[in-house]
Amino acid sequence: MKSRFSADAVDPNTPVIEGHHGADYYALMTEALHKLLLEKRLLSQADTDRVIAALEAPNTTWGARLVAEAWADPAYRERLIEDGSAAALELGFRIKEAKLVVVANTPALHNLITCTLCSCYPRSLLGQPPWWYISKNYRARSVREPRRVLAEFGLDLPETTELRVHDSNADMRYMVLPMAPEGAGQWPLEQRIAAVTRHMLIGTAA
Amino acid sequence: MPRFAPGDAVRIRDNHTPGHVRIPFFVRHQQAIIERYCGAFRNPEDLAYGDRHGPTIDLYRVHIAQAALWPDYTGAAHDTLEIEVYDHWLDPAA
Amino acid sequence: MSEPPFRGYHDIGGRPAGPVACVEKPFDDWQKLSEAIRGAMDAQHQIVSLDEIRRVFESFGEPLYETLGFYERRAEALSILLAEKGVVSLPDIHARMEAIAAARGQRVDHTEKTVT
Repeated sequence: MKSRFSADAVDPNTPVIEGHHGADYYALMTEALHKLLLEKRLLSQADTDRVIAALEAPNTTWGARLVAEAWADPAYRERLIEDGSAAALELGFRIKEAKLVVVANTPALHNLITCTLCSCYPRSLLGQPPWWYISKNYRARSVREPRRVLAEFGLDLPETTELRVHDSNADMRYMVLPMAPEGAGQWPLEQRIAAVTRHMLIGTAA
Repeated sequence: MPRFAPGDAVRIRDNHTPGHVRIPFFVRHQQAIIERYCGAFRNPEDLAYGDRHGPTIDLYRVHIAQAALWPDYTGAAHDTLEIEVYDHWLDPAA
Repeated sequence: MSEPPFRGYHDIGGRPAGPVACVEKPFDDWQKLSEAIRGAMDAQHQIVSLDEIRRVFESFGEPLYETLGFYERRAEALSILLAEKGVVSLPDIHARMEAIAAARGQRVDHTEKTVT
């Protein structure tokens, strides 16, 4: 039996195993656990309903709303980069789990967000992360061969552009501010919001 | 007052903490540049064991060259990585 | 004597890994409920923080970490943590799972983590 925290606990050259086992079992466990906690009156049905509603509400369009504002208003763009949480709150979005850091793409710089230790993501703004973001393959490779990962997503970044990877390992959560399309500052708000994809906010698209 | 300022050269420690830590293995012993001060936060090394009242610790974002992290890095020479490091995992760079 | 490097099995940044499957999957109802139980128990009783959940799935063993999916790992950690805190015991959880499964004509295997 290997010890968890010993020199031989992890061979850094051993490929990561990407498992997805256990959904039926843990669906059943969750049902059982919920019933037990309700019976013990440690939770009410309303308690979990409320949290589920809070989990379901945030989505990509909330982040896109911040981007849309920044594309049209240079002063807001500055505030968003200076203090993401405060700028989000200006538009009514409260970032609950951590501080939001917004990193801006430029012709010389492209940003990519990851979390190698778990799967941190600005969930209270953007909702649950995509399935591939929480995959071990993305977590393992996004820091070591990010350009290859981007190429797999169809983004071939020029060598002249600096690629900056952000590992969300502690108390910050990150969102990319993509570059505005030509003339986007003059577009109606809805058109600007619709132009922003989740891939752009993570950095897996430009 | 935070111990480091943006632009300071630091080295990430390996504290050999046998439990939950938030400093991934791949950045330990690396030289880095302070990018910004993030504020003071409770230590996840306490929080992970149920202690919600431990001292707060200064947190920084640091900047590291990818080529320094990975000797076999295949991307561009100017590529970088940024990561958050708590004060007790940092030393001033020698 | 130099100390050995400490690296948990969850600390995978930089390890070799396969292609990233660029596919989307829905956020299942049971996953929402599991996350909500943790969130609500923490809000009501300050008893199951995410940091504690992380500590548990980082120490429940490499074989489980390798085989389970993301929400499955968190659900497993939640049950262990609630048992550790004396809120509900693992035998009680398992017994309730078996009772629910039996009523549906199903069987639970707690070693293999399957319901058939």
